[in-house]
Amino acid sequence: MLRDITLGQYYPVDSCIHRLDPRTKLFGTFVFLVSLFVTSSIPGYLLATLALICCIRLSRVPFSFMTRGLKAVFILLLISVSFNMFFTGETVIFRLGFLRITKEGLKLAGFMALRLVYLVIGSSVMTLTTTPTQLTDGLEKSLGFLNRFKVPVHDIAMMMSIALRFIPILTDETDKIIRAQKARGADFESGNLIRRAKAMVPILVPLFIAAFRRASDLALAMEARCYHGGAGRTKMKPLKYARRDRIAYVIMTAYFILMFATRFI
Amino acid sequence: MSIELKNLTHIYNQGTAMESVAVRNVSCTIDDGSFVGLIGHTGSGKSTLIQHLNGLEVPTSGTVLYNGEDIFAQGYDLKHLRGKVGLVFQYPEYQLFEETVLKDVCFGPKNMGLSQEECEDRARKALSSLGLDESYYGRSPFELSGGEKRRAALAGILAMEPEVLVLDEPTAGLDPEARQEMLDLVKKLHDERGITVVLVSHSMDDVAEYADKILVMNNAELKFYDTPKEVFKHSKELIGFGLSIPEITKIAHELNAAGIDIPTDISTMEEATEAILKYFKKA
Repeated sequence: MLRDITLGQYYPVDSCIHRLDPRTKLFGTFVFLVSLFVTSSIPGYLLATLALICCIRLSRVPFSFMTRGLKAVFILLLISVSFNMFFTGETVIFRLGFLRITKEGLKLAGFMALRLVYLVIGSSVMTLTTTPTQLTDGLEKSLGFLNRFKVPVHDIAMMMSIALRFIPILTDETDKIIRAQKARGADFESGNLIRRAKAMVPILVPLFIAAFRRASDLALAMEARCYHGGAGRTKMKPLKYARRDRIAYVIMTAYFILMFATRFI
Repeated sequence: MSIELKNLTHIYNQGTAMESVAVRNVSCTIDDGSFVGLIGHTGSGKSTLIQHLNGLEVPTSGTVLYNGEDIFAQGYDLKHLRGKVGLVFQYPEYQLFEETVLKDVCFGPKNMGLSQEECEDRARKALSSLGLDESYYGRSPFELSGGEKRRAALAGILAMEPEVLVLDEPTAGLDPEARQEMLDLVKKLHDERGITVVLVSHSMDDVAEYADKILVMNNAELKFYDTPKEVFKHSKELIGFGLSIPEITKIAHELNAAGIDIPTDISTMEEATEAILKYFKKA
């Protein structure tokens, strides 16, 4: 059940998308997301679809992984689509009691659904091809200018990378505890809601203890290695733009201009 | 009364880039009342293999028979099986959660649907057989020492009164004294109650001393399954698997190389003493 979380679910293959600098990917995702809201015509969405398909093919990640994130937003998708479908527009094409479906509403709902789906898939492409560490490195570097406004960018990035790093650790830990309690005959699947909630206690108590133990071990290990925040800290693998990143930026710019142009078709 | 593994294969993340074979086509029989040492390098598939014995992992192909019945068949009572095949995980103390030691040990029997008195009765028996007396019953499991915690966790499994006890590295992280105690306890349970034991370890010395059969895993495959004597004859292969042979066997090999003619399939201290005495008598 816990394995469904796509966040920080890196898919380890070697592809040109994987090799891009995380900043390029962050910016690329941002451009893609904005472009979805710039356009509202069919050619625009065709272009976005084309771009997305190209990225997915280039990333060599199976398509089924991309759509995993959609499960989480399914309800949201359903609500926004039905609202748009039933409550906007003038030209009625179908009526059932007080419900009416309009031509404009249908079009808007379709675009809205596409936008949401592309948003999720677009960001999945980034998280599936970038390790959490690279991602936070990229964020830290890209947002470095905020340091001037006294925003502790490094500390936030460090907290984020630790939190991301702990997701798989605690997932594994939970999995182990569940197995251990199952081996003692624990039953998590049957009974009513209250019984099931009660059945969680033998998992949650050891998990809490494990989380605190891990956190305090990590704090000790960091102090033992003289960690004292970001000042003067160097990187083992400093981020550096390569030729492929410049090419990617050119493609992104061209894509965005084209997307913007579709507004005037 | 035995556990039979039939062409057991387990593949993690099948069909993705993370695909890895943890267990490949393992077939063997664990006889009732035996003491099996399961040995293998880290990542050789030992832990995955043992989780099939009580149905926690479902095999990709192949199956497990417990007393002749397929445990993965539709409608097989896995909960009942888990009471019969007790599995003690690595670092079992991390699964303790109750307010008191006694309550925690009662968790297993309670899940089996026993009455409160019966649970407590079994818990007391299990705790005392592991050397934890009444003074421990009311204490929080979190204030015990490492070795005591481990024994309390083991008691949690024993209280279900299993017929087979599977232990995954029960001595990991214990000091030499607690380690010896733990192994002696397991041996005692095997000898006195006739419990079938599967002891997972990567220390040949532990296994050689106690097991009457050794199962060697390497790279997800079963390599040897035989008496210690037979297995230690393959010392070259064992070393190739990243495993060592018991210290005492090593000494026998070296004595042999130095021209002192004693058998090289020695695996315990007694055998070594006997063989060396015999050699001197002959000379």
